[in-house]
Amino acid sequence: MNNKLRIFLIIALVVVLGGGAVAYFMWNKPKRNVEDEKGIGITASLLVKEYQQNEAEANKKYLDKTIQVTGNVSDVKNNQDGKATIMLTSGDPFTGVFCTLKERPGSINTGSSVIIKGICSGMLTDVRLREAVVVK
Amino acid sequence: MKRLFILVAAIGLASTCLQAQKIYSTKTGKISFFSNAPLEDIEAKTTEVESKLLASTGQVVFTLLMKGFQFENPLMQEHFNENYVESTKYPKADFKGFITNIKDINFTKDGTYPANVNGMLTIHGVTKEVSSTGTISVNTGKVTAKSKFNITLKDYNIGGSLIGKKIANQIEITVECQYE
Repeated sequence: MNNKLRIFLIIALVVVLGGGAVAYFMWNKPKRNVEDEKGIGITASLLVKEYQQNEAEANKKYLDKTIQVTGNVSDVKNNQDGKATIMLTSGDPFTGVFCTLKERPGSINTGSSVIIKGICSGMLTDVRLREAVVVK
Repeated sequence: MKRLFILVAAIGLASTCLQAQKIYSTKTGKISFFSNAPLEDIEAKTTEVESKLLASTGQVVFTLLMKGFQFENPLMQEHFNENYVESTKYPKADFKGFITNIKDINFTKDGTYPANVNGMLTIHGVTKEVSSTGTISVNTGKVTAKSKFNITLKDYNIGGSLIGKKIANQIEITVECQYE
């Protein structure tokens, strides 16, 4: 009887502690970090083209995924929230890939070719990447 | 000489027309929301926001990507996307409307002008009419629009078991757009 009680108590303790730990880690789930994710490799032109051809299909492939985009820089700015933004050309002058960077990049020149990794938020006028980092 | 005069007049006329048709736009407007919750306040913001404002008519449009909302707590962000706004199914939200007192706003003179806004807000695939007040500030040619208003989640069919209990049914939305 004593043994049974002891086993029961141990199991109860494990369940409570385990459950607590799981809840704690879920609540404090680490933030997504693009640097740790591999990223789907694609060019800016192709990404924009896929979105233009079929936005719903493109969203199935890319929405909320980490994407590594290669393209040419047409504009570098700071947004009103103090974050740096980089626009990549797509071959269509009305649209591009608009990246909002997580941290301030080193000097990036307009016209240069870059590789940027970020999380795809979908398409407005441009395909948008958030929390992006400059890979190269 | 006469021809030159006509040319100058034509150019002058064209540029005044252009002025009247001036469209203020931004690709990085800021929209945030706030909700009082017993466990932890819910707060998120995004700059994945495009907005255009036509000074002559007061027509104003906002479009945002729901996935862009960033929370302090990643689990909250996940719940927001998956259980509440279903952002994979409804990736965008938009507002289309008018500043109804646009005549009172002088875009060529610095100052902060009260603005009344009315239009249709679409979130979670549901469109509702909303009215709000805000301000338009003009500062050396830079135009900034600000507004704060409440929406009721139920109106947009945003369900989830916690709403009305642990999550308030009303949330406060703040808009701040610096136009270019």
